[in-house]
Amino acid sequence: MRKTKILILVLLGLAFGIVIGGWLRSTPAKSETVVVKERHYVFNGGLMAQPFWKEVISAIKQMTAATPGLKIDFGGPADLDPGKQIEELEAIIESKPDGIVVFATDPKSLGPTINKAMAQGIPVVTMWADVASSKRMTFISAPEKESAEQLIQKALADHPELLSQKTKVLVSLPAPGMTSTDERLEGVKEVLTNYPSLELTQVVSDEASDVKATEAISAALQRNPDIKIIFGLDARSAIGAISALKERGAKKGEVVVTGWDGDEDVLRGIQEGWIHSTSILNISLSIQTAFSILESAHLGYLYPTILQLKEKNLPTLPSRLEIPEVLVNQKNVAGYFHKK
Amino acid sequence: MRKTQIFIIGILALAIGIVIGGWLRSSQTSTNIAHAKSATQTARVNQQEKNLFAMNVIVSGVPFWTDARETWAKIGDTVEGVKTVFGGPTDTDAAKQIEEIDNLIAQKVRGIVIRPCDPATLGPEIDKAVAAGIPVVTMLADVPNSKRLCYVTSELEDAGKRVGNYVAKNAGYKGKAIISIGELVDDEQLRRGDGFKQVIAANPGMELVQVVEDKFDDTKGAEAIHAALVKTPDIKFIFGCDSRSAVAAVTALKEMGKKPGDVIVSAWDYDVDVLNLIKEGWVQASAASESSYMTQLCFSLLQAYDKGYLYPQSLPYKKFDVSPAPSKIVVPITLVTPKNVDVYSRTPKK
Repeated sequence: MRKTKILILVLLGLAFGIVIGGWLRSTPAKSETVVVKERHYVFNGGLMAQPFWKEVISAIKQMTAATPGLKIDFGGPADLDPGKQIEELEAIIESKPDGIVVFATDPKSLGPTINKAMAQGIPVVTMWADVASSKRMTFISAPEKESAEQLIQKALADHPELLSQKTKVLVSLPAPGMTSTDERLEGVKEVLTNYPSLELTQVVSDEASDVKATEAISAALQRNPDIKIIFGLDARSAIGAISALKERGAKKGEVVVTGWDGDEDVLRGIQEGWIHSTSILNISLSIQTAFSILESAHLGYLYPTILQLKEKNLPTLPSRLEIPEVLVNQKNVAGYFHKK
Repeated sequence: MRKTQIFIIGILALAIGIVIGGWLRSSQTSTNIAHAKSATQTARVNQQEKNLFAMNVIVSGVPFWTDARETWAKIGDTVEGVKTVFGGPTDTDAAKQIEEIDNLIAQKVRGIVIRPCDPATLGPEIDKAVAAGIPVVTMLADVPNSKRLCYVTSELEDAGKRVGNYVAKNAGYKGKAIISIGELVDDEQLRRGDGFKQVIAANPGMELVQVVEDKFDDTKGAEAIHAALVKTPDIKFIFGCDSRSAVAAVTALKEMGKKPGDVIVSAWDYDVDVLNLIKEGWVQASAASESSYMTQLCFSLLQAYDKGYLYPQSLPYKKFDVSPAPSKIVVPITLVTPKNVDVYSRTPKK
């Protein structure tokens, strides 16, 4: 009987102790707990069904998981419709986020919406497609022209036979007027001026869709069957080029095709020898850089307080920040396949 | 006696229970965030030991570093879980810098931003830090043979071209020129100088007569430029490549009895005395490195590495030894001229 009482006493003591110990441990001492301000940012893009965005979403998830108080919403229209994007951005502005990163579907019409956000104290950073006329803080991009030059120089260096004869060149891009692809085209044209044997026969618009790229490139190949180089300037144009070449019964390597970005089928096209190379954005780093700017603006260290930039309403950031791209070909393509 | 024993057993059980309870509680994840219920939108987070990040620079006492130092300190003050320390030799002594970096490695800092004194000497030291698991970002001058994560820099040749073209236009692109360089072994300085050389080469009316070394020092710079002016009295341009070269140039010009505007001087950075010389008409333009933003960019790289999101989870970069950052990121400069010089005047710290 006495033993039972002692056992009950021990068990009760242990139980109380566990409760008290747990409580003591969880009670935050002042030095152990801090209150972190929640920050709510938004990323809004276009063509959101494209595989390109997978890495963006992954980068955002990694950042938010690792950073207390950080919340980033991701969205945008499934197509390149600026009207829809403006509608979404207006709703986002209403929700008063702490900052917005925008991949602009149109270089002009988004200006007033971006300015509205800025006027309401919501900082906006444009990414990969700019709205240069707006009051956005900065434009995070890649050195598009230089990347195109690098890609094309390498492709031509690997195919010197094309330089010793008259060679027809085709370029495929989403549509004229988009900052990034216009700059890539500029790079292509600059390289071509150094090689009089190369002739740019046509620039087709593929609306960043492989189906439309296939149609446009097929039509171009119909007119000029002796096209020997196709420079694809968006993520889907090289895939469209391969489809068009296959339709014509061409074999891999007969026409030099270059792509852009790192969609899985583009990378496979490189492995299989259909695509010579592609230029891949440092997507994760660009995302991190954009949101780190919004973070520094929010946390208060973006402007050096000893300068009068803020007081005089002058920018503290360069108008454009370029994160270099990587040239991917058969040698290094394995490192760019997304994990299953 | 028996009652005392029972009491002791009870107390012991309670004590053991307290220890077990505390241990069970502490083994739960320390990153758990409970959203506060208040409308102030805050989150409560368990405070872990603050992670120390270091910035270590050449000639750390010169005014050029004021913005970077302030930004670095503000990052330490405002970013959750982060402490920052700023240091570096007051001169260009690489041995002293190595000593300081050794000390930072011993302190197990979580990342280092370094503006190296001597790229050739600092390579093994950077590799030592990297081997100890400490990522290193080089800023403004690179150590390309090292395992640094990334090199963040300001425009160099392009900035030299922008500044050079702006001031050369003021003198009709005609005249003899001196380029004043901090140190002739310094890659950053040489590349800034290359920009000026390109402007001179592109304009047949311009001639480069000498490149002088000012050692980032007004006095030494004034001596070197004075000697060059004695040798070639009809110099029309002095292109300065570091933050002290324009001040040195103006000292030498004053010694030679010149007046503002007699010789076109360009500067680099925006030390207070450089800004005053722009206002007084001695200096026509300067290249302002975005040193505050570059500091933030370096930190964001180190923070991403530290928090584990620099490497994209969805890509096998580590397996194939792909770097998660480009080898170099270039941040454009701002041209400081008499029109916008006031903006760069530093206000006293509150």
